[in-house]
Amino acid sequence: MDQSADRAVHRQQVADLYSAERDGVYRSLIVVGLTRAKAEESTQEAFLRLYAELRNGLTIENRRAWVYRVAHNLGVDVLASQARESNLSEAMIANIASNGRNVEDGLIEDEGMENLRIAVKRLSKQQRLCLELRAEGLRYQDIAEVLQIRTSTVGEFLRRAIQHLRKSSQ
Amino acid sequence: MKDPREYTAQAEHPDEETLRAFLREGIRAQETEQILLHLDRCTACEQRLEELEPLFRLHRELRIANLPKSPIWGDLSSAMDSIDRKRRTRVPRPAWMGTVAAGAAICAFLLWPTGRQAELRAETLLRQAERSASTEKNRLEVRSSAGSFIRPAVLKGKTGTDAVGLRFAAAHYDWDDPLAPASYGKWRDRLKTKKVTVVEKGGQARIETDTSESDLVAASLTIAENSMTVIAGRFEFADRQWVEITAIPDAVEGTELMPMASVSPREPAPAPSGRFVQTLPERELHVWAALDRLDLSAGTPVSVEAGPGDRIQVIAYRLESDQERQLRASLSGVEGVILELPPADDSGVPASSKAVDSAINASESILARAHFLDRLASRFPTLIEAALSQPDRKTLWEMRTRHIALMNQDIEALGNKLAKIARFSPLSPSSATPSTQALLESATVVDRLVTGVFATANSDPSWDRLREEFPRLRQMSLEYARSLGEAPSR
Repeated sequence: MDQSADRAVHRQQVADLYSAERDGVYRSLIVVGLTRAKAEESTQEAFLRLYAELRNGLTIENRRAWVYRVAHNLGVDVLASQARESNLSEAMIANIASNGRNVEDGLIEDEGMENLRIAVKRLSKQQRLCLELRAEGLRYQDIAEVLQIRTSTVGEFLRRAIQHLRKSSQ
Repeated sequence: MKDPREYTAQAEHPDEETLRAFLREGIRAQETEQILLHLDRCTACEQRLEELEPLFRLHRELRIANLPKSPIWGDLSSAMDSIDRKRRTRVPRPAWMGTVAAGAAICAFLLWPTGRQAELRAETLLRQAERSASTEKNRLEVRSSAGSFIRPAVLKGKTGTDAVGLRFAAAHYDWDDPLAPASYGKWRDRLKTKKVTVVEKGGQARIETDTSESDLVAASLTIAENSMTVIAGRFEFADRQWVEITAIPDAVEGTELMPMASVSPREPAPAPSGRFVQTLPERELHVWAALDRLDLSAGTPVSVEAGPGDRIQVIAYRLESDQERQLRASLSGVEGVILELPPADDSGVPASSKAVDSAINASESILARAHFLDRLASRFPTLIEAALSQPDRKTLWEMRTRHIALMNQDIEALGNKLAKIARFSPLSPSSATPSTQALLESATVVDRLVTGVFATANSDPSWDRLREEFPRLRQMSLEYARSLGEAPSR
């Protein structure tokens, strides 16, 4: 296949993946703690990096997990640089607000669910991410790849998360 | 032992007891991995797991109710076009071009202007860079031997009273806008004697000025020749302290400006040209010792990793402002340390919610110390330890001794707590000195069991296993303490 045909194929593949996965990637970045604007920016950047890597001839077997991983790393970098700027930046405040209960999302009336919501917020970031990515439909192996930990550690984070949630709901 | 692949086969479904154990008290890491690999391929078993643990479904429902609204996504076509345009400029070259390029590089090295010619070239570059200087500047990453921080590119008169700023001010270098060509030019113009070199390669021009008549003895600016903007600067003072400043482009621009060949899931920081007097293990040990003096080495989430260019990256989470100040002061004496302080992810959690049973606290402390001892063992194995100076080996010994002693105290406290509820067997003699890895594994199992005993309703199986594992941990911990012996004297 010539280069222009390759390029067209890569463009289409990335565009398809972008349509299918951008919301999931975006949500996982919100869970990490990014503001909506930064989550949107990092999501797009992750897909563009995928395109650049494919253009460079890199073979990526699991592109979905790769995009989540790059987006996750970008998110961590964004948070680190925000932290250097201020202890509790406006972005964090905005994010806490965006993650909190608001009029649009005020669908939880049940007290048990409200307790669960609070318990989920108290989980460690890793535990929350494991739950989130699992709910997003990623395989356990993919979650391990995204977070760059062992698959067994994913299991341990999930177990601990469930244990905390169970304790809170008792 | 089963081949891991067996579990992943459709026929080898884990039974309900195993799935329950995986969710409740936990199972061995290898078995966990096998089960998860199986669940990745077997939707029926994944469904069984969901049925066993209704919290998965509840979490999903909660999540759906709270999903953030998706943004109105833009099309990536134009950004991909931009990537394509950059690629098109890279014309494939035959292999012999490498030799020619190497020759050209040697010639360039010989022909890099110095003296009057260099001064003229530097003037030209600085004038062009000044004309291209953006009015809307980004931020700067400032790294020095004392640490690193991010600041606005232009302070707009709010000159900081920090040590770095004062140092620049004393050298008559404008700290308000250190990467501005004008700031660099003004500093150079004051110098009567200076040596100027201009190095141009790889699309970048670096102007270097050395002098002996200022506390700032060397300063260089690096200019990207395609945009004629200053992207970095390096400053060295008479006492060999150094400061490196890098312009940080905002994220969208960064996507296009970044060389695609270097794109990776984790972008490394640019390699520094720092010259450290001490070796990496020595400096790392001093970092650990500094953390240890502040009692931040075990239990507090602090990560110490070797960073790019022989630097040491210290990431500390959830520090109080006092701790942060002390940590900065403690690390200021260690060369090549990058300190990062990410925001706490549980800042909204009231302190009372962190209060847990004292047994769980003791167990977590044991685990943290076991982790720390194992970390020291992996970072300072026998050969590296032997190469350290006697005072450094003593520092290492003191850290190990202190933490194993505290770990033994915690084990005793936990033992007393557990003994009120269950009977434990006496210590069993052990044949060999335990490794820190074995200590860590045992502490992990005990922590898991203690959490299971205190945090779950059905704790009977955990008690049985705890009766076996806890004495083992206690024995190993005591033997490890004994194995440390006396402080190294020479």
